[in-house]
Amino acid sequence: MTTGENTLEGQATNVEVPPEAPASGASTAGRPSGLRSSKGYRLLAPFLPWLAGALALVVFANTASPYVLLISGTVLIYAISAIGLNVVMGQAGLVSIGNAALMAVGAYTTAILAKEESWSAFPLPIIISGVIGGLLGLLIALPALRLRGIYLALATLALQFFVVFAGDRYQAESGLLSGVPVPPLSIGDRYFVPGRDFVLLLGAFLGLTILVVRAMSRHAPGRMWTAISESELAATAIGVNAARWKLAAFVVSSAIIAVSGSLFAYYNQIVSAETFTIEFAVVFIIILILGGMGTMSGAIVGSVIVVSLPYVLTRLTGTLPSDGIGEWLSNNIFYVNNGLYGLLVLVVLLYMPQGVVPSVTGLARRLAHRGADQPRSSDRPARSAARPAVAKGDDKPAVLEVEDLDVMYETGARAVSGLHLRVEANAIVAVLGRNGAGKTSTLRAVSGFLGTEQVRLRGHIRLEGKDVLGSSPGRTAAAGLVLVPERDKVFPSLTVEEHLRLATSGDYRPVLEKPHFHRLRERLDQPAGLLSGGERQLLALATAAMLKPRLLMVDEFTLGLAPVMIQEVARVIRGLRDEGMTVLLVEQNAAAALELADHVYLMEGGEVVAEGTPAEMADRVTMTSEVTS
Amino acid sequence: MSTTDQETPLAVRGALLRFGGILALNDVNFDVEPGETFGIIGPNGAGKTALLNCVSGVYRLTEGNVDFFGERISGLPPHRISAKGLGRTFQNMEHFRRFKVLEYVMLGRMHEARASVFASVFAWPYMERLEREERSLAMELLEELGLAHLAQAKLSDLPYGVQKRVDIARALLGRPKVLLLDEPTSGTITQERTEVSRAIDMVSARGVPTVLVDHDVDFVSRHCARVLVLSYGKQVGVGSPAEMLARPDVIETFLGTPATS
Ligand SMILES: Nc1ncnc2c1ncn2[C@@H]1O[C@H](COP(=O)(O)OP(=O)(O)OP(=O)(O)O)[C@@H](O)[C@H]1O
Ligand SMILES: [Mg+2]
Repeated sequence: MTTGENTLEGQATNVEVPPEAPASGASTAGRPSGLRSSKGYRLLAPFLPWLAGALALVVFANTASPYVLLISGTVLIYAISAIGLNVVMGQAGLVSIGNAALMAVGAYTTAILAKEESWSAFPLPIIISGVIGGLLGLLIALPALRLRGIYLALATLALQFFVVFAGDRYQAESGLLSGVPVPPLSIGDRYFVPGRDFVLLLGAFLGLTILVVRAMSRHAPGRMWTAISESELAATAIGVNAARWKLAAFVVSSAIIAVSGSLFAYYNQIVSAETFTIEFAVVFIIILILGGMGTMSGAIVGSVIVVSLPYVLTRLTGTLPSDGIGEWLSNNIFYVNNGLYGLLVLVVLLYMPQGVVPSVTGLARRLAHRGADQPRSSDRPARSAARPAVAKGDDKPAVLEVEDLDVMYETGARAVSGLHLRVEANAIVAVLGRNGAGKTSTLRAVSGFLGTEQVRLRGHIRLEGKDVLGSSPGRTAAAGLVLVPERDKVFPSLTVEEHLRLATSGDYRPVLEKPHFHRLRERLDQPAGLLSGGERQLLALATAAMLKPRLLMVDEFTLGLAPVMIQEVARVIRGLRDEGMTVLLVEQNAAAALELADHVYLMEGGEVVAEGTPAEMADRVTMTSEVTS
Repeated sequence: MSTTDQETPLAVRGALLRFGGILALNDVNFDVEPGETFGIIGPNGAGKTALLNCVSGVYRLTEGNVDFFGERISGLPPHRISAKGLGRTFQNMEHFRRFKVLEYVMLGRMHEARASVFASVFAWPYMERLEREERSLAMELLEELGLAHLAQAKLSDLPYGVQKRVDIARALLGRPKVLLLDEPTSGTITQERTEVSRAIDMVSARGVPTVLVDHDVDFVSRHCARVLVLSYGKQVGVGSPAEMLARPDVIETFLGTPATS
């Protein structure tokens, strides 16, 4: 049955081996020889993007109109600030709305120092702003050690009120109600006013910021921050000192943001408390959401969008007739602009949830893969002939019929190819195979969980005769299908009882009467996230069974279960079948599956390589997937 | 109460853990001897993971204490315990989705990394070299465990059983003095189990004592001379796998009687 070509395909489709893995995995061991391995190239390579960036900036600064240059300076300052904020929000996953306050601190520090003869020499005010910002970061981080999410965000807001208040007082006391003037930035006897040179200087600062942040995020600190953002508790369990690294993130981020505030002061030559509003702080969060949280290029692209939007709008107003719509627009430009920000955020969140930059690079990657590995349904041997006729229910459709299913991931890896499966009503069907054979992908395709992700599906999936290929999980569920997945099988913050109540409007207690399920009864008020691994599995199975689906699909029902529980759950599943349910199991535990199933499929490399009754399959299965040591 | 002697890698004394009204652990006592692979088995919800969490500092014992080579570690925060040389894996790899395999494995050495944000910026070449060294150490380990081809794969894209092996690699990279493994074989087929087996053999060849929690009794029997049986927080007993698995109470609550067909 397995032709030579199929074997090759099988290797290519193994999900365990994403196509780019071998090459990049070996990158430390040295690249293949050729042009790229010449020594000069290798030494130069890391600098090329920087050179290109610098060159582009110089060309831009020398050709752009003064108006565009004026805006570009602001873009660059915002980008520096956003990159600073990204350290805390994008990398360490801590929410902060303290951006405006920190920029204000840098700006006021600069305004005050720039007036003093002995402190105003070029990098001094900027450096001191950074240092003060860093110290303040330490202060903000203190609540961050205890608070999380929205509470932390509110705590950072406290700084906002405090700084604005202090700024207001300072302005009132010194009689500078409309703002503190800042003398222009000078290096030696050269003065910088908004324009070409200032843009180049800011470009240098942006480059420096990128360099610094990159150095950290490429090394241990970046890894720790990512770990903390994923799960602080798990991170500490494997040895990450979460408190220390959260402090570090806030200090670094705050220092960078304060420096951007200092540059902001020099650029605008005036500092006023009115500038640093909460809206101003939120703008930077918008920048990160739009551009892409967690990436520096995202912070830059986001800054370009957000800063230029009002100017584009103003331009637009100029082209409109000065009465009617044009007048209305110019009167309300502030609100229209903020409304547009909101709309943009909404659109991005809906269609590019990771932000513009990651979405665009992802798209580019997908396009590059397109055509490289097209599924060929024509040159596949016809399977239907080879398939034993299981169609006992003659004209009645099977509960589940999968025909010629292809599942291909965005990376180009094909998880499933040309799959045929048939699950008759009232049967227990098991799909066996090793990790990466495509079993989970099949289940996810059938249940609709793949439709929304970056995969391509092909073929037919029929639930009781109705084609559901590409349907949403909601629709397959409505069609009577329930999946107990391998991971994320319970809602961590809902209690056991809430799970059971979700599953049935009636009485949930009978399920808990089963011999080993009674443990759940003692845990009714416990959030499911705190259950043991096996208890979670039991809860998921109990909930799924109570939904009384037409087709129950379970990915690894034995996962994490004690031997006695496996036997009990097998009894429960058999009982459900006797009550009329149809069950599709995907299993690695061949012994358990062979004992339970009426019909068994064996998958390998994304294809079904054998099928039959458990008795027929026993030898085959032990040979292929149960090679004992 | 005095600590146990320095020769004993791990000593748990009178461990008691209460969650509200639930006694998750109720007077658990055991020693892990040098170089030994010590098994812990028991039904679902017996308290096995809770016990490992108490040892690694994620949970704080309500009563009792844990000594690590004669030093009291109960009460210390998890990262301090980890820095002393206690390595662990997770039962469910549901955290850490954004990591690539290699990056995740490199987290294993974070507790001893001489890393700081300042070093990264001001001693860049030094940190870069350090990073390269750690990277190649991690690659070597991945190679040994047959996972090298997955180095750049995203952790969350991998099957459960493969993730669990990656997690073992992460724990091993930290060169632990004692290793805790929580159900390393769940979600793997027999063939992959031999790879997990090899990893454990590798550890014991280095003389590192290991605590192995697992539901696969054959696997536990193969690796452990002694097992502790837990049942709903209580210690049923410690003994050889054969002896413990033959006990009627263990059969009733844990092993069951497979319907032979
Ligand atoms: N943080 C917590 N809060 C409340 N109860 C908990 C918490 N953690 C664990 N438990 C409970 O303590 C008991 C022991 O859980 P534990 O995770 O140790 O079980 P286990 O022996 O590892 O089981 P399994 O084999 O299913 O993984 C369980 O009943 C569980 O519900
Ligand atoms: Mg457990």
